[in-house]
Amino acid sequence: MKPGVLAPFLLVFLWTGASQAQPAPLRMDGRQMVANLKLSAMITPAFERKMRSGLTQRILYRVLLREDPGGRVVAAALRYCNVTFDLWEENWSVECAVQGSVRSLVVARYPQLLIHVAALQDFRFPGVFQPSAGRRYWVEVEIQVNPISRQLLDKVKMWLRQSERGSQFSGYMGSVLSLFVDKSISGADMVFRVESKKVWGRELP
Amino acid sequence: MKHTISSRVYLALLMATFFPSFLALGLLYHLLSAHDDLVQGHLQNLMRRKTAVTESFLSLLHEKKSLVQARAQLLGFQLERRLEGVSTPDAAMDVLRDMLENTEDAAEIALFQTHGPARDRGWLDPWETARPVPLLRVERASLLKPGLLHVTHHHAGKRHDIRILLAASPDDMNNYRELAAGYEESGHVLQIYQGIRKYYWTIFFVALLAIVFVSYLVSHAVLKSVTRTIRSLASSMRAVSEGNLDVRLENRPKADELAALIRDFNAMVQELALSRKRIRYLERMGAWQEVARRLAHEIKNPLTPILLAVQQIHEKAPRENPKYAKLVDTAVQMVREEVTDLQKLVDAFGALARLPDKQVQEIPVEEFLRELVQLANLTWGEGMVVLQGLPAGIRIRGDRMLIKRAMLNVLENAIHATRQAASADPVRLDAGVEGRFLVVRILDSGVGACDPEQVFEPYFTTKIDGTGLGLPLAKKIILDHEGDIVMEAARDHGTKVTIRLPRMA
Repeated sequence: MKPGVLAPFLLVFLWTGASQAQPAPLRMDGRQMVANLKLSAMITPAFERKMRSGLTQRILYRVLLREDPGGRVVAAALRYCNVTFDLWEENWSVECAVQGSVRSLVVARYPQLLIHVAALQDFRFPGVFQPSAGRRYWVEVEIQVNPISRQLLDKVKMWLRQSERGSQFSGYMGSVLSLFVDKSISGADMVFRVESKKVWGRELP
Repeated sequence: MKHTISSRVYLALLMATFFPSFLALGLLYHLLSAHDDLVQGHLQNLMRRKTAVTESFLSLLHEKKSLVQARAQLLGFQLERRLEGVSTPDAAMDVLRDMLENTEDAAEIALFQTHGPARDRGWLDPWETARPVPLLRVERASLLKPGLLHVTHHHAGKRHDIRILLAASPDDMNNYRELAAGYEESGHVLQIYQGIRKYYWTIFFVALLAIVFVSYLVSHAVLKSVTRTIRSLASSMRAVSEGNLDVRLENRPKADELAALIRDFNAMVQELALSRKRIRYLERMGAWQEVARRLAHEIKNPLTPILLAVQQIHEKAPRENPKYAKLVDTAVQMVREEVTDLQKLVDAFGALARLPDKQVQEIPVEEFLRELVQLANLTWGEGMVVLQGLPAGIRIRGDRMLIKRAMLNVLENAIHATRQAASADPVRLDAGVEGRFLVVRILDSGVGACDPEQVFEPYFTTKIDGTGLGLPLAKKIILDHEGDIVMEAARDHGTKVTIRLPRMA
């Protein structure tokens, strides 16, 4: 087996080893629910290649707090990160936005990058939350790497409407078809789903 | 479901619409599947190439950076060696300037006071704000602009520390970014295609349903008049089969097959009505013929004994009493006259009752009518009947004698009416052809018929000495020859009798 193949597994091993010191996945800070979660599913060779591609990578996190039984979403938040690898300087510029606040930093090593993009650290759900002691809670995170942008959707709509080679009828059909090009069309270069362990409301620290 | 013609037509229309639609659906499904395979293959190919391009470029970039770093290192050693024999700052500055000028990609060369081995000092990046102040420094401002790629080399010399900053063009990297971004966008466009592709079916089904619905509406509008006509034709047929021959269908404005069907139907019903009238008339005439035959027989037999008895009474009557003798003479004379009238009546009855069987032959119409007019003029006086129209080369099939008798009866009636009205105009006989019929019109300027229908009823007469059998006899003969005879009031005055007989082809 090539050493390159073993590298991600080793990275995950080392990284999860470090999680021994990590706090509980869910805790209450005052009246706010706070999540701490490692997004281990993201640590793949393909993800690393993407992070090292030199292009700005957009990572969208949909963080849902669910309760059991029923699986109802009781809180939700978005996190958005732009990660750019400087191919010459060989470091990463990371800019993350959560609930209106933006945090920027530069990291030189890939494990450092993972700490920021492949984990939720003290992630606060917006609003006041009162957990029920008899219910269990868990966090579900959907991560989309480079989701299809609104700009591209608009561009595709324009292409469809302005049929250059087709007949007038093709233009009409394109206009009809462009009505279906909306936010519901989802797609991304990579999609990950991570769920935390379920925690009883009465056990929330 | 009732199996009417309209329901079958609609079913056929639906089949004609749905069958090609489902075929098109299947075809579209396979075409789209093939297209999906193409797109999927293209997407995979694109991503594979993108990975290859990325890896190749990153490798090249790494090599390029290593090369620049190696050059910077080499320049560091060269500069240290050149500075070994230099004792003044100005001379050192000249060396730095010379090296900068002779090194195209050098952005900055700076000399610092030495601080011992480099690994212990932790050189700071030249772009950091808190950097050590150089002893000497030369720079090429054009290569210090942001956006260029730089490699900084720190050379720890014995007398001085040297910092060399080399610049590299970012064009390659920018081109790579453009290329890689293009690959990523292409991938996203294909994902969008796959996202909207599922709506193709929605659009297709909606369009299909709309087309079927519009086709149904149009077909319904087109078929409405057709099915309505067929329904009315069917109900009219039913009415005819139940004996109602007065029913007629309204003609269609368009000259199509249905219009022809309606026209033929109306003609058929009219023909049926005429046939029924003809049959009834002939049945009635048959009954009258039977009565006439019996009456002729019952009356004719006693007439001769009556005449003989009266003759004997007249011969053997005593002449002594002149009054009595005169009475006998008068009575005998009256009896003889009445018997003579009865004899005539019996003859007429006999003629009606014993019409001879038809002797069918070809009759050239031109010759026949000339002969008829001649005979009429001989009988009732020269110039009483004039021949107007006369079709050439027309022939009919029938009994020449019977047809002549029928036409003479009609002419006699016309001449009588003309004389009654004291008109000087002759009776006109006009012949012509209408379709498959020979049409003979006999027009007079007489007193006119009181009832054109009643004149053909047996024993109906307005003449003092008429038997009322002439016109019925004429009608029977014409009807026996598949023809028709109609009397109507003429336009000015008098009457017009129209006789129609089928002509030979």
